[in-house]
Amino acid sequence: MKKTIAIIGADDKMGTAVAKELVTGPYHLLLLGSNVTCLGQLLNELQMIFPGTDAEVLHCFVDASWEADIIILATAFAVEDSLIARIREVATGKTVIVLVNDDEELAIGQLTERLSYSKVIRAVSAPLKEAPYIPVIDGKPVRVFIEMIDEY
Amino acid sequence: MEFYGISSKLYIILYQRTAMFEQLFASVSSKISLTQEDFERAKPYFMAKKLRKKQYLLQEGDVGKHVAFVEKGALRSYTIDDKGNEHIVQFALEGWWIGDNYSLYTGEPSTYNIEALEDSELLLISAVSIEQMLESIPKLEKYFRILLQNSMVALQRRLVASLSLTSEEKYKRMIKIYPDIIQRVPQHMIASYLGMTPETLSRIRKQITIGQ
Repeated sequence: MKKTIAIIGADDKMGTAVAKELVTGPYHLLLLGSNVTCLGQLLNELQMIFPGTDAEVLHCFVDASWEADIIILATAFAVEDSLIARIREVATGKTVIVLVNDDEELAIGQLTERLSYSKVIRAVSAPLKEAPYIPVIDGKPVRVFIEMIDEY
Repeated sequence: MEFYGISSKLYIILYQRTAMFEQLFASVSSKISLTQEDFERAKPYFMAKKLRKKQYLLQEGDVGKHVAFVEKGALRSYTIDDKGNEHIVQFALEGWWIGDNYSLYTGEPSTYNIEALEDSELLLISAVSIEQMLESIPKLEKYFRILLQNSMVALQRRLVASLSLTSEEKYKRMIKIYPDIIQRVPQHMIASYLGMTPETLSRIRKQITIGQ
């Protein structure tokens, strides 16, 4: 069965990379972000990369998280309190993958606490400037935890 | 913070969110008395899931890991035979449970497909979560026992009806018991549920109209 994955911050570097990685898999992707034009371009790009693309741009974070089986938080504003508070209830029982790089403001423990009924997975711990941007973060971490989720 | 042009929808979203467990609470309250506090404790065991029309909750060959409670919308579960014909096992509207118990408890792949007939809002719960929830809130045992009793009775009656009634009687029985399903579900699916061809159902409906 196709899993639905909401990528919040698909217009951000990390989110874009993840979307490109996941598009060939058996997933229905929901692309969200602050820049709708960027998301539209990303969708076109995905369709060029993979003709069988099953993705769409959505505008409401709550609705998308509600629809999703897996929620990926891939940009700084996605982990802000205001957004987390809104998706909290619809994220109950779901896997939430945090792809935001380390900074002082965000401790994973805090986020786990705020999303206490979700399964929160921190995916990238290396600061972006230390990790070479495209293939490394793009390839490995993503594949690793998608396999985990399927078993779960 | 401005939420990128969706602030106008915020009110609706807030309204929906508070209404997320409304049907479930009504269903539980209609069968047992449960405090709001106990109900609050039950909430985290459920996963909220939205399905759009024609999306699937379960497909044949997958293991059904959840049963679903319908907060809003309509679903059907069906099997497909060797000749490719669909046979509808169950419909589920607001306040109903739907799932493949066999697959849920045995871990065997399901032979059912469960599809949303309308945009639907569901509350999913896994077998493990049900056990944990019942351990934590034993009062809910009674709720599930009553559900089971009711479904047992309904199942037996449906079996007898499908063995002994004529097509016309079957349809009339369905109108009587499930008028809301007749209203919301396409005719060919009702025919499939009753085990008759769409042509037969159409003929019966005509006769009933003339009879009136």
